[in-house]
Amino acid sequence: MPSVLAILLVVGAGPVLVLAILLLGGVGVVLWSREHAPQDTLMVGRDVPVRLLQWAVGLLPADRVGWGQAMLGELDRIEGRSDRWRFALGCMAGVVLLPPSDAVGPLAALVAVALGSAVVFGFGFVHFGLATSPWNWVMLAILVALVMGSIVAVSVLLRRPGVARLGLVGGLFVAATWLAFSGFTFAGIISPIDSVGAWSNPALFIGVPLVVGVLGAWRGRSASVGRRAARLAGVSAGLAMFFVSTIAVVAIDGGPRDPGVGVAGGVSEAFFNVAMLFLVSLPLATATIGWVAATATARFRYGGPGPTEP
Amino acid sequence: MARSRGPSPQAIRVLRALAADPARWRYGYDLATEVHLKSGSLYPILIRLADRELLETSWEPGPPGRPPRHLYRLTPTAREYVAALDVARAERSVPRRRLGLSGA
Repeated sequence: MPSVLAILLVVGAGPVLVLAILLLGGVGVVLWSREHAPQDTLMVGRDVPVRLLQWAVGLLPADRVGWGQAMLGELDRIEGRSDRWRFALGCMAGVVLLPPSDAVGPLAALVAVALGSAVVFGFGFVHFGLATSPWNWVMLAILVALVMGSIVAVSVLLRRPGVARLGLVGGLFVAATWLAFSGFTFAGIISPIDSVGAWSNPALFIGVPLVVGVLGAWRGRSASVGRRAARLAGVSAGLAMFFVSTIAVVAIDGGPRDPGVGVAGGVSEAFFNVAMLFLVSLPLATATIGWVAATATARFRYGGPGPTEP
Repeated sequence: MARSRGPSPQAIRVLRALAADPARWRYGYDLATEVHLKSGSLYPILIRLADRELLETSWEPGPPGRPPRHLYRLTPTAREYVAALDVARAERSVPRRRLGLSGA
């Protein structure tokens, strides 16, 4: 939550928006703590590799859970700290990178979008001579990590039953709303939160995620499906908007820039800003607010997590 | 529709290790150690082999309070598949040897 606030402050959110996020975050913490009372006493006494692997196994789809148990059973028999760490970390990587068995098409589409962003960004990097500044290489490394992290997150979320369609439709809705707020202009796409008016900030960072979370929990008939759908919507919309915004940055040479800043500096700054906005702020806001909305919706509608809670 | 691709070199190593003693049930960690694969590579391979019905799996109950262990061995189909791989490999290597292209 502090990271969300920091990022929102950086991208220019006002104090009212920050207060609203704090309020919603507080509601979220209360709801979360009521649903996650400590009960798993079996975890006590287990070492870190077991705990990490247990967490990773929880990311597996229902039809693969047996394989996660197989990994845990094998880890239980391995002696030696370094061997246990190696085995657990290897299994975690295997679990996280395991492609979804029934949503390969959507994953391939989002990977294609990410690759498209990389191609456009790479073109801009070379065309505007960004390679001469060490800072731009740092930015490149951050961007690669963010895009790869987004793809891994999408891959994990697509495995969950009932989440793919809701999350991807939600992602289209989020991306379409951001595009609408941008006015469908290149300058607007680079900074959509400034394009319409003072109310665009709360609408994009709170209103849209609330709609996604509520509809996700409503249509998915459970809080967890709604929460995951909100996460998937945020990450997929972020990837799509990042792709569009890289094209916008290249097309208008980074857009308006401060006096004294050259074209390369303006493009570099614009690339970094759109990456932070669409790969960090948008997914975090959608996931956080969507989480609260989905949890509250399930609680009001079903009086608990929901009738189909896995 | 799922694509039917040939097995990767790592998957072939796993298949050959299992085919060395096809009746014997094997543990995942032992298999990974034998074929020098990391657990993150081995388990996705085992999952794919099981999906293609090339791998038979079973559970060995553990002592009280400890999780069971998963065991693996090849299905009869897989044994024929590995035999066919060996034949195909031998056929490919013959012209290479005649041309003096073998790596040795």
